[in-house]
Amino acid sequence: MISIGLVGCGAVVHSNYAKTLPVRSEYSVRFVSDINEAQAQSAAALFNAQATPLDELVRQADAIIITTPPSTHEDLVLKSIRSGRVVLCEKPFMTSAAAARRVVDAAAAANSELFVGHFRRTFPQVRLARDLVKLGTIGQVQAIRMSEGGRFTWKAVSGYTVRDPAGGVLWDTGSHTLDTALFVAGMDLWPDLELSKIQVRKDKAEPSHDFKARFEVLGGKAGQSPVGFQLHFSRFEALPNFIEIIGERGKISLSAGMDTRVRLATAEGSIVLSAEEQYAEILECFELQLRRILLRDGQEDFAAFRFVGLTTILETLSNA
Amino acid sequence: MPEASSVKTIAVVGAAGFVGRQLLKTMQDAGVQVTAVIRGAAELSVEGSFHNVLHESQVTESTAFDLVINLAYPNSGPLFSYAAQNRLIFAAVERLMKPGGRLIHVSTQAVFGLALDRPVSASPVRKVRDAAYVEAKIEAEHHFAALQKKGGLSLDIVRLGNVWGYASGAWALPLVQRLLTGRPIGVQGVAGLSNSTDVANVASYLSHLAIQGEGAPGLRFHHLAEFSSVPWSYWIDRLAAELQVSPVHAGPEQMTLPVSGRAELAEAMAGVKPRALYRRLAGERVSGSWARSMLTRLPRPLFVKLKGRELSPAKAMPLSREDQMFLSIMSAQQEFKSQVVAGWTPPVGQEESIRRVLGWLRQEW
Repeated sequence: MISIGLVGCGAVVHSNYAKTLPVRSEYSVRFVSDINEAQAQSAAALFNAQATPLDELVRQADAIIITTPPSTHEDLVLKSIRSGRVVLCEKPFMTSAAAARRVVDAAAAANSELFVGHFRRTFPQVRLARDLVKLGTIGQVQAIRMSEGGRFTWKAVSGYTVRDPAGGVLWDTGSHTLDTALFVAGMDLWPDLELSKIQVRKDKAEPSHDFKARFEVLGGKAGQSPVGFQLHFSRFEALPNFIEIIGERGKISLSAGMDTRVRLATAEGSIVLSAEEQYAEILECFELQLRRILLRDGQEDFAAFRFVGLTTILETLSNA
Repeated sequence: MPEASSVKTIAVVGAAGFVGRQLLKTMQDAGVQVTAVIRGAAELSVEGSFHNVLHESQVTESTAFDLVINLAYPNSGPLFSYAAQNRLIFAAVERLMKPGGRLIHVSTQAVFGLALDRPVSASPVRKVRDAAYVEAKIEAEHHFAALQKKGGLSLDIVRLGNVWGYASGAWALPLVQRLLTGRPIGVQGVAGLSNSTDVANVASYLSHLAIQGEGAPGLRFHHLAEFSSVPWSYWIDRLAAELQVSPVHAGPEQMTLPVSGRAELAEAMAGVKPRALYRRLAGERVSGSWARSMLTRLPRPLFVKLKGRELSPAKAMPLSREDQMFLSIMSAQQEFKSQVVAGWTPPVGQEESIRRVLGWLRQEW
């Protein structure tokens, strides 16, 4: 039985982890910790776990899940990594690419396995779209468009989504959508990304609530042309929640939310393909991610090094 | 825009929603002072553009208003919590109202069934088992009608058709989303009526009622769907042309509800958990009764025993329950005709409405 320590006991723990972690025989939450004592006690009751000081949790837990606001992630990850230990950091991973590289390197040096929670990578349509890109159905990826927006209802206990510079719509919603696009396009495996021709329009300084950008990304294999990006994320306005991957021979459209279908359009015409897997509820995908990571079965999709490029994009855009 | 009548102070409850924000803007543009009453974290949607904001927790007897426009309804959290959420909304609205004051309560055509499959009339509806959203809306109509009867207030219940328009999260967005990703958007051979209304017209009508209405004691029903006779295919074809995609239609056979859910029933009933079963059933739309809802979930042998006939499962790939619910609305055959006060005409016509939605789609990203 893997004993899990939860660092941070805010909204995502009470809404998502509480419904997906306590029901398995292979692992269980034994320790919880939060600077807000009431939140810690509430989470302890949910999991029948022990509310402990952070140091105690770090000493005793087999695996650690970090769900605190993003500006605290680097210190907590560095404190948590230890030989043989699994550490899962919630998204957004780090607030800078340099910090992302530091923790990835530190985890490797310590022989600790570091992962990032981006559960949309388990969505059926996302995996189908990724397979289509891998198979070369649309050729080399040339451009990616995406949008996601709607009334913002997430109530973070810490209030970081309206106060923390890394809590705005780009880092919060946008990190999900951008990550999905990079994963589908295979660009999360690019070793280094570089942005150019950046144009940004947003409602205010970070944390912003409405974010539009156009830019190009360089950094793939030799001979890879820059990939043009267009994106719009909003907490004010309903926007189509979708991602479009445009290649030299066609394009793939998919929903940013959980779905099974992908629209593939090539010169021959347009067809809708459906993934074999289907999930009734989105939390099934959240649980699937946890199982893959904690039981090390398909965990490679969530390895931390695959999120350095995403962090580079987020950092560059938010500073633009 | 008409001159303001004797109404002095106006509060809008549920102001952070799609209709609420449009209503605030319309009334502000008309020079009418309005207070936006919001709940929870909703201030984000109105902050910056509207400064006269009152959080529900700040409401006291001294902040009572001459007119309250209620747009709020349960729309988040578990479906089984809708009744409790409704009670909180009722309490907030009542705290905001002056004794014998005036209330405009915004309801929906869905009180006649999501697919508009019960008789439509501008009069009270009976309580029936339906989707949690519909039940909550019916309950709200009953609650405020009872309040009117008891307290003699002036009550206008405005039932809206399918509210679409620029950046409509309820209708423009799902249509676009389904077109883009190839999810079914209609049923082959079925031309459903859209029974739609543009959000700008909704805001105009509510504003008109608020400013011009006399507010005499009594209960009045209004129905608003100026595009009631426009088929869904009209909006869909225009959107599809803009997006350069072909709409996907489900075969009629796919609309057959799967009548056996043995695994789901066993799971829901494990250890006898009636609440879990309720949560499952509350998420679905099964008109009629609880008994009928339960019947659709019976294990097959029990169904055969009770009904004396075999189940006939759908041959084609079954649609998700969400798809079936959506498509049943898209297949509505009954028209929800507007019944509005004399002297008001919708400012946005059919062509202008689609032009605005296409403008939203063409936004530079």
